[in-house]
Amino acid sequence: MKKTLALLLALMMCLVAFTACGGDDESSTASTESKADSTSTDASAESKADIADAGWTYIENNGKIVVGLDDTFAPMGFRDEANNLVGFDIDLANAVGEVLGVSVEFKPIDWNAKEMELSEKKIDCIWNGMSATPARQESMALTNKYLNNRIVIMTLNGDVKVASAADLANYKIGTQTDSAALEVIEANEAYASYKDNITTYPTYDEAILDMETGRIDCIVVDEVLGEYKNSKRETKLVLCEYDFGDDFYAIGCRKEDTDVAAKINEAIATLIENGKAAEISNKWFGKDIVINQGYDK
Amino acid sequence: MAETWEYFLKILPALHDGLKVSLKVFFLTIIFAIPLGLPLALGSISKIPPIRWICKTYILIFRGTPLMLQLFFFYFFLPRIFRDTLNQLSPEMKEFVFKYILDALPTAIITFVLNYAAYFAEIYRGGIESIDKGQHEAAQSLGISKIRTMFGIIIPQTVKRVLPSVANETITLVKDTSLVYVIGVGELMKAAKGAVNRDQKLLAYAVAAGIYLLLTFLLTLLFKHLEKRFSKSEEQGGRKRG
Repeated sequence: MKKTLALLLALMMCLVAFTACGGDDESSTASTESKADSTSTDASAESKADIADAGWTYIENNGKIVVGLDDTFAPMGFRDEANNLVGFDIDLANAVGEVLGVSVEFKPIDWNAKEMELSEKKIDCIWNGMSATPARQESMALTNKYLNNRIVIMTLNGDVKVASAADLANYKIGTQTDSAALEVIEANEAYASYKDNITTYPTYDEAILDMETGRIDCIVVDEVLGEYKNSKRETKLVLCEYDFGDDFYAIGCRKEDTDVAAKINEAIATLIENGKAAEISNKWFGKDIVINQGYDK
Repeated sequence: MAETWEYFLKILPALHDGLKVSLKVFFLTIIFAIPLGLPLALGSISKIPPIRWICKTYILIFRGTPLMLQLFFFYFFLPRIFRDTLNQLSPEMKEFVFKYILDALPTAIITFVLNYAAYFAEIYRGGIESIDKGQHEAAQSLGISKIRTMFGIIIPQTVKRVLPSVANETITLVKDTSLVYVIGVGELMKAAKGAVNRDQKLLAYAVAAGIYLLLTFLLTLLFKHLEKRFSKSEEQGGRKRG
């Protein structure tokens, strides 16, 4: 009996110890304080509810924009050692919030559930190094392209030489599931020659691990990501000669919230003008690659 | 070596924050699911058909669908279904509901409790049905009511028999807590993943594995002692009777 109690106590102490020294409950989601004001006139404003429930009015009423992001995606949005949310997108979103006069709340999401998070209004936009693919232009209201990036091929093995897309037929290729890189790989005219060599991974981390074990020869990846990985690695990834061309990041809002996307565009234009955008870009990438550019329809 | 140690200390706070969430999910699930399994088990062997059907359907659904989909369902679709009802609540009430029920962590815990209760119910049912039918008849002939037979005679005997299965399920739960990341709750596994992604070093995974192993080890010890204790009391009871 005594031993039982002792063990139970040991387990409980684990719990107490871990909860006690951490202090307050840091649930990063929805505090609905500001909602209380706007809903107090509910009865008279029922017909207005639909309008107030969508677009920029909805965000203005809440006094905040909820930004959804996968917080394990360095250098765009991730946790530093003290568990603070940092990254290029975090700095830019905060700056945009400042310009627009709303507070910015960051909500960590699982990348695979991002569409549901958005449509169920758990978040107001996806802002996380998301490439502006044609498919996403259909399913969301995308902002202008805000970051100029490239899709490149990287390898750990100096013998891997890719001078053209057709050369990929000789190598095993890894990339991330549901990524912009995968989309351009598939859109390439030489796709048929190498399509059986492609393996997709949940994140680039697994792809790089698999390249280290030798199961794949190269990865197709966003340049800003690859460069970031290199800054942390001892054995560096090597760029191949061939690349898949430009790739642009954009922020995704709910399909019907085109006015929100427009507001963010304006704010980014302001930040480019006053030099704040360049400052943030230099901080994270060592160069200014922020743009504000629409789409060719 | 010193460098590894330094890095270990550096990633520890984040893993520790994640662990807190994992433990919260674990303990709250165990505290509520273990008792909740009992009425479900009794319901599923009830003589009253509607009760039996409801309990059996509940168990079928929660054991028959992936826990991950259940998390999605409770987090994304339930609030949508009850949107109108929610809008009728007073602002204070609405805030309460959103903060303590519909937020990601409470939703995760509620889903885990409902899911694990179904598994525990089946373990209990197996335990209850493993007791010889003759005991029911004997109790009846002594004029002991059905309820007292169940709670005073049958269930105490099942405790020892179900303990290994309950232990098994509990240990599974330790590792299942890593599933809550799908609705954005940051727990131990996600913290480890974040550190690997940030630093391109694998140590965080090893540390996470060590923590899960330690928790499981403690639980194994706890259940071993519980089993010993319950088998001892049964032996003593047997001697007294003999």
